[in-house]
Amino acid sequence: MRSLRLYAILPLVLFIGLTAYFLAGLWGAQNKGNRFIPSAMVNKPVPDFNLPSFNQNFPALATADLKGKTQIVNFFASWCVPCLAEHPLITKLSKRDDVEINGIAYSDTGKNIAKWLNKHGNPYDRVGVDAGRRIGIDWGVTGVPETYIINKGGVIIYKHGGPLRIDVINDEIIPLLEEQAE
Amino acid sequence: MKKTISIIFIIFLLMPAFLLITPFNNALAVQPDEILSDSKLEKRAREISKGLRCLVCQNQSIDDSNADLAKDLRIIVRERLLVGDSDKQVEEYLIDRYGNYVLLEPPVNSQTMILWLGPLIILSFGMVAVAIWYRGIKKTNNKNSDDRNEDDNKNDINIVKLNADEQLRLDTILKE
Repeated sequence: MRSLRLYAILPLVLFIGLTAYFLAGLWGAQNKGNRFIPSAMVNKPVPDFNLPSFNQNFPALATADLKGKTQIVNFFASWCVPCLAEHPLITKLSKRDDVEINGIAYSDTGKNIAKWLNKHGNPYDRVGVDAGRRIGIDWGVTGVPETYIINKGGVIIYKHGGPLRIDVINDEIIPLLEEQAE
Repeated sequence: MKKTISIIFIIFLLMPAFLLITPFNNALAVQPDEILSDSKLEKRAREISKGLRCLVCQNQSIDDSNADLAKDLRIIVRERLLVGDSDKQVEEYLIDRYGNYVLLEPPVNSQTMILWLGPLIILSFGMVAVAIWYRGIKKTNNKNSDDRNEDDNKNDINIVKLNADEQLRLDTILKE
């Protein structure tokens, strides 16, 4: 009789276990931001691309540029409000000398980007304009802003979807940059 | 007056049926300029699109969604078909960029095993539990009937063995 009760209770125990497992997953996703989507691009080399700059006097961006030094690639747009919100944080990151900051203007025009950078400051070392969103899709971008970190070998090692926050920078990005500098 | 109200009521009741017969049901996000001239390829593109997640609306397929990204992906699906990709290759192309998340139906692999097999495992445990419980009942019944058979051999009339209390009550009733 005793062993029989144990068997009867097993489905319930399993159900509770599964519920806990899924809830933990959901909460984990929530903590990573509401735009959490597991990235397929992490641990892959940077996709092949070559984008024009917003004007001839400013460096453009291509795959070959993203090597030799740790690189941040930040997808942004002049029409994107959260991009403006994270702009001061990107500017702060650009003061570091262990990383180069690259911008890809997503679904935008050179003219608008020039105006926007002029107004808010330009923290980028290079900027590529992805007017047709095709390069964004090759990177697995679902919306701006998105931020990627690329190691010296040109492999993507990190992705953050949505605007950067000070805690993301302090807890995730800076430790990664320091690790790469070693 | 009453008649009008009941007619309106009936029309309301029938509304879901109208939805089924009107082309509204497969109202498209697909724009005319996206549609391929090759109707066979277009049909394949539609089928593939139905299984691909619109990543910004998350629970819609790119075939249903009006989002910019969904439009971009629909065009990419058609481009890949035009250069001769198989349906599988088109899906792979997007999985390379967006991961399995782009598929509306999660594929069976080591990561999703628990999702697919979990309910089956729980069901089988339940079935085993029920089987054991059922066997337990049967055993007790068999045991009871074995006891009865022994009693039957001793005394043909005594089908149910009475305990002392019951015997006493029966005796008093019979005496009355």
